[in-house]
Amino acid sequence: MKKNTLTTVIVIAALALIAVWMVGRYNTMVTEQENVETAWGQVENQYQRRMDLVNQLVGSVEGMAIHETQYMTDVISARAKATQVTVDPSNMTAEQLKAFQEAQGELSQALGRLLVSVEQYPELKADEHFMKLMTAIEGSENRLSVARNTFNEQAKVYNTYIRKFPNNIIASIFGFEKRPYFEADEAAKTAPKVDFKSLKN
Amino acid sequence: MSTRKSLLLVALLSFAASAFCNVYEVSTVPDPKVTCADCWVSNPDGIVSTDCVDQINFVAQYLKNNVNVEMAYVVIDAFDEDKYADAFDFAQTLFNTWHIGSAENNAGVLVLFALQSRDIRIHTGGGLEGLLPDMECDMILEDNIGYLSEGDYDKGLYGIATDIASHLVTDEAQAELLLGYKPESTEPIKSRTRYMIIAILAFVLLYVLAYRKWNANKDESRAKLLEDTSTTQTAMGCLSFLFPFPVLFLYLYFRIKRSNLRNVPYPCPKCRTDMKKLSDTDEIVYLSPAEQTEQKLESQIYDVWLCPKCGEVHREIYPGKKMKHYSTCHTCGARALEFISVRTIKQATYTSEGEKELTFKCHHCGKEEVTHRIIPMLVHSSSSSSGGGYGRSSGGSSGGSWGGGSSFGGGAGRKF
Repeated sequence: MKKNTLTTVIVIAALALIAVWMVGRYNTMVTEQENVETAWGQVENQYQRRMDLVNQLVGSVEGMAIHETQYMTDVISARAKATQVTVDPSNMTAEQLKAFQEAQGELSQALGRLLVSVEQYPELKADEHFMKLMTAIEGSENRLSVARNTFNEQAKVYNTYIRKFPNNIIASIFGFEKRPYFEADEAAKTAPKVDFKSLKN
Repeated sequence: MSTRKSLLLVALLSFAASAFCNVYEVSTVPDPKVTCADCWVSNPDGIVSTDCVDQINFVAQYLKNNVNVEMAYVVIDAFDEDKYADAFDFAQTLFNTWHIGSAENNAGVLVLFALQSRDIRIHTGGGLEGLLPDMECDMILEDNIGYLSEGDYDKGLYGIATDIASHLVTDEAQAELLLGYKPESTEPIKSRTRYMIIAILAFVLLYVLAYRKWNANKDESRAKLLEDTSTTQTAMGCLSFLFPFPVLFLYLYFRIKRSNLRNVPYPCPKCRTDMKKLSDTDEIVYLSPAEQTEQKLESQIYDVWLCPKCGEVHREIYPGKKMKHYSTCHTCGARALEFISVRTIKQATYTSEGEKELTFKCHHCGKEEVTHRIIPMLVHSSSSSSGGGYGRSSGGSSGGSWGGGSSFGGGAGRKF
């Protein structure tokens, strides 16, 4: 057992320790990033689910008086716009997310205005199928807000992790980038809030 | 009554109403799981009768036992409307704070009733969205909301419980719920890193320890070096079970190094030439008769090194394999004294010590040695050490906990 060997062993062990530590951090980053992407998948799922319901809604009121109103035209054009804006989850920028959120927000508002106007159409309130769609859309909006919150929470965990020292060094070496958040939608706050419960009664 | 007076009255009335009504946050709602393992209803304001609570508990326990679904009931006066936007927000937060639903299938359902805001909501966990879609939840509420509007909360809430249960105990539902589902866990990666770090640290520590022990007494005898490092080798052996990589390699390396030590050539103290180790037959010349006996008995092992250049001789003594069978003879000094027999001279009793006679025989000089030893006095053994004492009481009100489920926001709510 020579002295040189001891030094070599200690140096190699130190390097191995650093490597193991880096691998650990890197893997955690991958996991966190994957969590963000899963959360984003949920967000997209919920938007898709709402889109399907809107399609059903538009189909079910065809031929009824409400179909010819400005509210309906707004929903249809907002729907067309929302389908066009997509976000690539692995390469998400703040601008992309903002455009996505705006397009979807527009649909939310158009939908909200339409549903408020339903008050004026008693034949719709008596329609069981229509009222079921109401329940479904309400559930869909709820799930959307949960999915968006979950996404923001996951993105926050991930962003905090990659920006902490010394993780930021590893993150910059391997190109882990900060993820944008869903902003609290100002327009959505001022839009008329549909009280689904009062509609049902 | 003037407008001002009536306004004052309204203000007073609403103040009084708020004073008598309990407003809850998620953290202040009493958790029924804390009270007992088979409690499922939080009814802090006594809005439903204890009979009704028992009935709902019975249904919930049935669901837990048979389809592994956790059904929680929260029946309160009001939730804090400044803090939570609506009943959905409150239910969602409560659901994911308590983690209703077992971790295997994430099947949990929360029924929230808030009297002041007239909210009734069935909130479903992620694993129940298929069996209890929002539409079904809304139908269940539709069927029972009449009782709630009339103020018959017992009947309405119990009806909701049985309706929910009826959706979950069908054969298909049972198959789905008991199939199980396991969320991905990030734990293994972290623990693997920790394991690797500890393994490397253990390796370095053992290496440094071995290095220091090995080099501390380089100039002393090899036998002493082997003796000093034997505990280090044992430590490595034990740790290599825990960390096969890399400690096992170190252990094997160290073991080989130690067993080879006997064969590493000595430099001659006079001319620095490498000395040669003599074979067992050649070295007899350099050993005394006593030493030869020891070598034969394997109580001690002798290595004799001879310098081929100047004829310098170096002897090294190692403990033999059977060293422990022999002790040193007091007559000839050879480590060849073997234990032959034992004879009891006086039996030990409860009142006095006994005595025994041990006979040893030396394999070298043939002399017998006799030693007398004392047999300790007998002691009455007490069969049970703990005389009395109380057993640990089990049962009683030991609490339970929720399984660890989460909701994605499913369910339906209404005003009654």
